Amino acid sequence: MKELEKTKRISISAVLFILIIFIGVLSFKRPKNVFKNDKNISLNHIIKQDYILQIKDLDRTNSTLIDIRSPYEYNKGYIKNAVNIYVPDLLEPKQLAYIKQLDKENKIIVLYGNNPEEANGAWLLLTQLGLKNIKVLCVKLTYKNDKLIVESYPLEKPTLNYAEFMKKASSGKIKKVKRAQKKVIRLIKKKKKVAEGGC
Amino acid sequence: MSKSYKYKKFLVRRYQILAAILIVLSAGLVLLPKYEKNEGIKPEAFLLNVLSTERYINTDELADRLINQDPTILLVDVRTPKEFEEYSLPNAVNIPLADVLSSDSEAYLNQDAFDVVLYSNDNYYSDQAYFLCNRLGYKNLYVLEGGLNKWFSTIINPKMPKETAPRKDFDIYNSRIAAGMYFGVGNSSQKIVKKAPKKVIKLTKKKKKVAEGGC
Repeated sequence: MKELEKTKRISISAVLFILIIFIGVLSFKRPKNVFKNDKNISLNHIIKQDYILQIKDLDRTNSTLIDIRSPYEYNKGYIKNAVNIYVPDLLEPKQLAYIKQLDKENKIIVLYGNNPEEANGAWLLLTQLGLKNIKVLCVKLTYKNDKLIVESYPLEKPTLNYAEFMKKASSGKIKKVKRAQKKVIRLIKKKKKVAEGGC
Repeated sequence: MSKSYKYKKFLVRRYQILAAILIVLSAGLVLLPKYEKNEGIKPEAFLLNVLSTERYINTDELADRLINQDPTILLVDVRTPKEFEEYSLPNAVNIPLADVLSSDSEAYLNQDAFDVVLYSNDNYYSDQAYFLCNRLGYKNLYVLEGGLNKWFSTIINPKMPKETAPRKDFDIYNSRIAAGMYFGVGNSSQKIVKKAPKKVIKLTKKKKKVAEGGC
């Protein structure tokens, strides 16, 4: 009888164990998004710098433009045929599926924002997720008379020769930026003429 | 007797079945698609970091900390060694963008003793260095907003505010000029006027001449 009890216990525990493993396997949550490229691959991507597109190199036929600014700014004006995906929505399933689809079709995906710095983070995020054809359009956007103006942006160019400037500065020779001279507008007062003619 | 024998056989059978199931399950666990481990932080956290502007430190703040000789600041220049040689901020370390993930630079970047401020000509490359390190979970990293271009246009060569600007702008301008002097700018407008030596003018007293001529 004792043996029977023992075997009963063993079999019950074995069944329970199997059940637990089953439940564990079924409730195994796979993470939604996983970084595919490790850090070194990403670094190589960054150094190669072939992902930065100038306006003249933009091939409109094979590329899709994605505007990563907010919908409000997008409505103010956007480059023709650009799709709007605001940066916080980049990981939403619908948007991500759209981008992945474009990537599968081997279309070049070009990101742009008010300046390349805005697109920088989005580009890094997408390339690290494993998408291959992502590029950044090196432009800056301004508005004039409610129209969008797209200009090339001098990426990481020093605005002046620092060493020279510091030399000049330490010797006290920099000319301060002269303020524009005050425009003096002369108003000619019309002299009141005494009424002629007499009484 | 036969009953217990049958029972025993059944028990053995049961064990065999259980053992078989367990073996099948373990094989399944081994062959489960490998959970690709995220190296570093999750993409969602990464996106949040991309959006937040907490990483930026502006030029006035940095100048302030440098002048007060804050010992917890560590400046890291991510430009090429050539550009670093030409000019760099005082006491900066050069870690070119290509070497940001090497094991030597890890000693500078992956620590919690200093506040590391990354900078370059603008903030594009420094942002990229920040993102790479952020993905690996390094803390205490900051980016100089606007980089050296902004440093020069605010601290070294600040623009004089218009006459109609509020008092605050003038205060900021003055503090920037003062900060610039710390960093080696000798402003011509602040030249100390040499006091002209006191000219000693000898006054010769005219002696009053007694009126001549008499009565």
